[in-house]
Amino acid sequence: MLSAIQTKGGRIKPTHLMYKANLSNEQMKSYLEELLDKELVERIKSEKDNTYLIITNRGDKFVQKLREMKQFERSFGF
Amino acid sequence: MINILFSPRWFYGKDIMIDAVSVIVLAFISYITFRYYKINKNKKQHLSFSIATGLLALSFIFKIITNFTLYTFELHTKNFGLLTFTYQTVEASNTLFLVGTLLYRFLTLIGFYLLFSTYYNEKQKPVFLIMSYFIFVATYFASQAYYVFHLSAFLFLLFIVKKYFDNYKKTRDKPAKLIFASFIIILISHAIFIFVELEHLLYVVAEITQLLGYTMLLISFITVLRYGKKKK
Repeated sequence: MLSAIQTKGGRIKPTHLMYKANLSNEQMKSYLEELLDKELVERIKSEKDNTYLIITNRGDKFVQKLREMKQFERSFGF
Repeated sequence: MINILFSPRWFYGKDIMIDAVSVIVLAFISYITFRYYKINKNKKQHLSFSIATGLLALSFIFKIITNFTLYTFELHTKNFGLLTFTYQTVEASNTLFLVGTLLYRFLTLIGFYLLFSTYYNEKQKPVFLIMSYFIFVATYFASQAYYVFHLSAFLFLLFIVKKYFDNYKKTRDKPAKLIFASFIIILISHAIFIFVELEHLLYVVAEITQLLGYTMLLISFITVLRYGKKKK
């Protein structure tokens, strides 16, 4: 989900995220709650009153760490 | 009295610096991989890799302390030159050598075993206990025959290197190639250490090879981190 937000420039509509991350409505709700709780994602309102999800600095750093970890696993053969 | 020093006198202290570099590299890798484990605690391989590198760092700390104290004792003996005093000093350094070296060797072999078992999946408790026992026995007998320790480390490393080679063949990426190369160099350093009793100059060659190996391991690890950062 975080990567999906990143590829959209750090800002995405919840419905678009759901399709992009290939999630059901239930999954989306529960995962999003967790991301909001952990302050990896924030919910904001646009001027036209549309809801957007934005990735926080913390979320950016977390994705970065995950990528490093994936590369570590690949390079060390885990 | 057993032979307690393999380093030529002119190399005293330089080997300590080399071991200190190895400690820094291993401690750094251990710290970073522990952070990866904290991200996902289901990944036990990360934890065992972190503990393995941490134990190897700790083993080098014992080697440094032992060598540092031994070299200091040696120099004092030279300076004073009193027969009784010299005798007591050597006795003290002998005890220190035994304790320090046993800890260094035991932790090194446990560390390499843990690294080995990260890849070869032998983590059931009885296997771990029996292996620890054999490592302890190997460590004990290594005090009579120095080469037994390095031969044991060499064997563990040989299988670890094989895994890194297989992984390089599979991924074909630069970091995997560097990791494979650095472990090959560390493997070679242990192969040279086996023959140190025959020619003390080989100790210098082995230490320099070890320095190359761990420096390359640091470069490899930094390359892994950089590649991770680059990927979008």
